[in-house]
Amino acid sequence: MLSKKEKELIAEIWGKLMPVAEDIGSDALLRMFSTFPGTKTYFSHLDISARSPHLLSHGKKIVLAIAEGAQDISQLAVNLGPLQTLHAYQLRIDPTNFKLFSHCMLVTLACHMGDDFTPLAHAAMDKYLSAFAAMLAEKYR
Amino acid sequence: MVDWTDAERAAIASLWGKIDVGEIGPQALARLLIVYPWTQRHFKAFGNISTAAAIMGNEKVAEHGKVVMGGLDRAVKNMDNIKNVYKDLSIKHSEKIHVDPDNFRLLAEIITMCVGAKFGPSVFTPGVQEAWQKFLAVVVSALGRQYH
Repeated sequence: MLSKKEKELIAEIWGKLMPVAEDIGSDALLRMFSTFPGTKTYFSHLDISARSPHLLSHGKKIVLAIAEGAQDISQLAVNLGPLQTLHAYQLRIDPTNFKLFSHCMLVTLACHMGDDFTPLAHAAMDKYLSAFAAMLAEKYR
Repeated sequence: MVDWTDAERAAIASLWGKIDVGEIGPQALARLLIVYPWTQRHFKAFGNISTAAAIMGNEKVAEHGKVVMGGLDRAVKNMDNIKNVYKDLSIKHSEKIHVDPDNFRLLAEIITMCVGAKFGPSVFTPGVQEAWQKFLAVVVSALGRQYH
């Protein structure tokens, strides 16, 4: 459950991250590929080495989707519709991997935000990413 | 036996050398109780842990966080025998304290975030994170190993 205060904090933080979506997204992906090599199996068609154009553009895409969703969390089900369909019928990424990515995204945020990654921000972000991941997997079955 | 590359051993030794258990430990345990409130079930004797502010100011939480984090030292110094290093602790957590072993994984994840926040992306690189998480995964496995 997200409180009103948490929703505002989440919208604020992700709003500030939109301009650096590429850096944040590619960093999180790289951390995930390094720590959980099984996740690389979904990217055999791309060059996912550090700073590669594919990694940067893919990271940007993911962060922008998360950031845009954060601006109006009450509408998440509506806004994620197309992405839900994409993941359920085309990409079919095992949803366990969403947890792995969320963890690495939190590590990236911790590294970049330092002291600003307060326990309250941490809790809010963890809850939002969990909700986002659950929403993304809703059409799977 | 775990296979450690030279790079992994070096990364863990270097990172551990920088970590202040008195700083990271309390932060990590406080965050566990704040981010995953159900973990508070094991800490009823710690006094006031009813709000995030109370948790962050709670001396018993801080002290225990330091103890838990400090416990990693034995693993760092015995990387080829982590399974046995924590045999007794595993039995204790299973038979005496009755902790769901999934909590070890949660705490390990939070420790990783605290370390990342402390040292930033140029020290806590993806490569260092890989080694550190591999290390913590072995610790977590060892702590859960004696459960039956």
